[in-house]
Amino acid sequence: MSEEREVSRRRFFRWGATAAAVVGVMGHAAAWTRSLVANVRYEPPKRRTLGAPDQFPKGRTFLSDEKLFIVRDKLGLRALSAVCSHLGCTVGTSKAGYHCPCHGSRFAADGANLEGPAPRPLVWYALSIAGSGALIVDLGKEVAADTALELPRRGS
Amino acid sequence: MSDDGWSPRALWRGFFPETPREGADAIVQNFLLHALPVRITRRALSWLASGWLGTITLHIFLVLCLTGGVLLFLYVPSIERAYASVKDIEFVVSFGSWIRGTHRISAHLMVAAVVLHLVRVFLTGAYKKEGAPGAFRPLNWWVGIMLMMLTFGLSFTGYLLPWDQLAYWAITVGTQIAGSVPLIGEELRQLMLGGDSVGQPALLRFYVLHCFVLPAFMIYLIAYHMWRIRKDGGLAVTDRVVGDARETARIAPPSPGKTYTLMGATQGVSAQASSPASLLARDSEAGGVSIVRRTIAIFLIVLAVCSLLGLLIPAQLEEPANPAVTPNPAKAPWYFLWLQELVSILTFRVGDTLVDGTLLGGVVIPGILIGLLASWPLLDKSPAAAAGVWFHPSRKRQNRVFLFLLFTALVLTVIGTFFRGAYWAWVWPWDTPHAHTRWI
Amino acid sequence: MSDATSRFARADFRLVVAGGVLLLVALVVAFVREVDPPWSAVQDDVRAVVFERMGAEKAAGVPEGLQQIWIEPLDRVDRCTTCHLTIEWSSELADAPHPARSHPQGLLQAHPVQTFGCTLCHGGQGWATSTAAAHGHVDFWEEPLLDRALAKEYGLSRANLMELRCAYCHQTLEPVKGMPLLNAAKERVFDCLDCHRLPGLENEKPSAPDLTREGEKHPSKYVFPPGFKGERSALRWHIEHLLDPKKMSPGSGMTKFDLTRKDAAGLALLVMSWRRQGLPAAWTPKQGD
Repeated sequence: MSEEREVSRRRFFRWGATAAAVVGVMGHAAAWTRSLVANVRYEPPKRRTLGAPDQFPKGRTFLSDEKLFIVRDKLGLRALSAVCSHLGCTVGTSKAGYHCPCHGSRFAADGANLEGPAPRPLVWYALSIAGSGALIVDLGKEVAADTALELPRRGS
Repeated sequence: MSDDGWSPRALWRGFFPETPREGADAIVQNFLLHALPVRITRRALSWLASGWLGTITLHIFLVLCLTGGVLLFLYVPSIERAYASVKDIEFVVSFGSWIRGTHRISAHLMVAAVVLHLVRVFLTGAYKKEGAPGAFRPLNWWVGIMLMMLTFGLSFTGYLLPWDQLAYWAITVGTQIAGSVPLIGEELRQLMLGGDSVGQPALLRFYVLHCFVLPAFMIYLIAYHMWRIRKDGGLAVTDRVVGDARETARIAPPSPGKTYTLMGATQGVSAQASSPASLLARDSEAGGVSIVRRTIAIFLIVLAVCSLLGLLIPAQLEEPANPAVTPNPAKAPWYFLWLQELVSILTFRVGDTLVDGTLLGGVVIPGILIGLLASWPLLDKSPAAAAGVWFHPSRKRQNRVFLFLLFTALVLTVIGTFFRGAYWAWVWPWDTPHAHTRWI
Repeated sequence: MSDATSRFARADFRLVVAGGVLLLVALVVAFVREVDPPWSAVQDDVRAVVFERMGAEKAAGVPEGLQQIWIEPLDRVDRCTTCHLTIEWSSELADAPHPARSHPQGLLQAHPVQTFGCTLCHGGQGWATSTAAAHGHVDFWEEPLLDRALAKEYGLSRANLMELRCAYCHQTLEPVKGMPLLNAAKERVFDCLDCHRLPGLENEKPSAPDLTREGEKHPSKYVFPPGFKGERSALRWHIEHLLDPKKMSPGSGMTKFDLTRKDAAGLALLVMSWRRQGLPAAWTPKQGD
């Protein structure tokens, strides 16, 4: 009977048991940590109903819930995100464009970043009309700056 | 130490001692090990002396802190969100039901372990004031009583957090009992509730108690409790080992300051083979190795048992708190049912006087019992030799009294659990339970 | 090393082995449950039905994972759509087996799923993610799914039984479209005004209990006569009481009206809908709705 084999058998068991214990404990820690990753969201949906398109006058209308500017001009209706592309503050309007209160970034009327730390232009979101006639914005769908929702002329 | 048998070398590589002297040094050199004794007698190490119930309780508490820490991220202590957040833990949080189940079953197990620990200490006379010089075990007995009350407090406050029917009515009844305390009762009740009625301030108070105040006291007192064991010269059974060694050596005791901590034993390498010190050295092991190894084993077993039971026995969540409807019967958790039973049977009328069972069963009797437990070490007149011995003949009568009280509480608990139905009336466990009326 | 040392070491080693193995067992069970939740097989079934009826492309569009509708103003959450994934899909799934079946369009026009969720009308436990718990057939859940089986216990159609939940919001004594059973009951309920006080209708000298909030009365507060046969419910109590007042509350002075069982059920449901509405202003239905 080889004593060497006996010793290696014992060592195997010792390591096996230690490994089982360590994996067992670390596995519990991993599961407990996984529980902190949220599986459901308590957030409003990305597609939101904004009401009748007629209620938005010419120019810019700010919607605080959606952090959006609804821009109405000769192109039609467009939705510009008011979330600064730098660090997420809500931009305010300036004479010709938009101005961020946090770090002073300036944006043009088409959302282009002009000065300050903002690395990208502001984002435009897709607008559509629901079957009920209500205006819908899809905050998950970005579009080009000149993509506008053309409105049927009044009275036609 | 040789390579025979398993030791936590893999985890403690680098300071795993090769000789008894190294083992002693490790205690001094390693911060993690500094709380441990250099030597521990084999009798203290065996399961028979103590059942290691204190260590088991400590590790259940550790599991509670870990799972509780996770739940702290998931639970919202507001009366609008609390119930919904527990429902979310049950239904959509990954492993949530398991974590909550583990936390709850661990809480029950901890109450059981604490009580068993107390029973062990009592029956072995380990609280006795007679001991080695410098030792005063009653102090640790008192700390232990406080720890037990903290355990009950933690269980009770934890029970209230889900804000279901169970929680709401437990707070209502619990604070009402506090309100029956003479003179300061009403003020006490209002202090607990943060107002007159059970609402948001009450939930927040019990939440802070459960998650911060009581655990903080608990951790402090546990540390003190364990330090006291060292100050008292180890488990009470060590006194017997030392006594036996002296008896065997049949020589006059050397300076007691050295041997009672066993420190002398490790340094007694060159002493005569028949000296108590060398006898002790032969009958003891390096604490840094044996206790660490035992602690790791207990931690793994405790975590595994709590975790498996948490998987098998999901924690309950009753209907949302409804101030308009009291559940029938509204039962306290099992470890308070003997008190609820007392409150119930001690309320009766003698002639025109109403005996207030709330005050008697909820305040006076628990108060007397705690006072009795606390003063027991001072009342116990048995000889020093009775410390650290199971059922020592000289303690026969007091053991009987203690076991009688314990048994009574146990019987009342069983009655409250299995033999009480709607309106706290007597039912048999095999009776068909009272069917609840549905809405539709 | 002495024998005693190795005895303790071996015993503790056995504990460590047992602990390690038990920990692994717990982990495996927990992970299997997590990876294969009760709804995951149901989602596969739904996808198979969509594949069969509408093709691979549509089947690929069936959402995966936990779904929830959060109705923030009402502080409600419905996770029914975790299994009933295609509830808003086209009529091609109108006759598909549950839970792949799509919802009839009519009522959804006025009550969009994303705004109203499911349990507001159907009952059940919106939080839950397993069938029994979600359908509310579990302990400690008081609002079960108003399904066909339950309606049958009262000799009603499912739509009739659900009128109770319509009436939780549509609290009016005017007739409301789509609530035939309760509309009929509302015509009859004015007779009750001789003795009772009813919501929205004053009675100067009521001689019988105030019914304005009768729907809030908890089932545990209903007293059934000794030897009452059958399932006990608040609805059953009201039906039996309307059919024979003295049978349910001995000594009652209430007239025994000539009602069919269905009439009584309609009146009972109407009475049970009389509870505080607790809706935000934007949610309160307009008069006549």
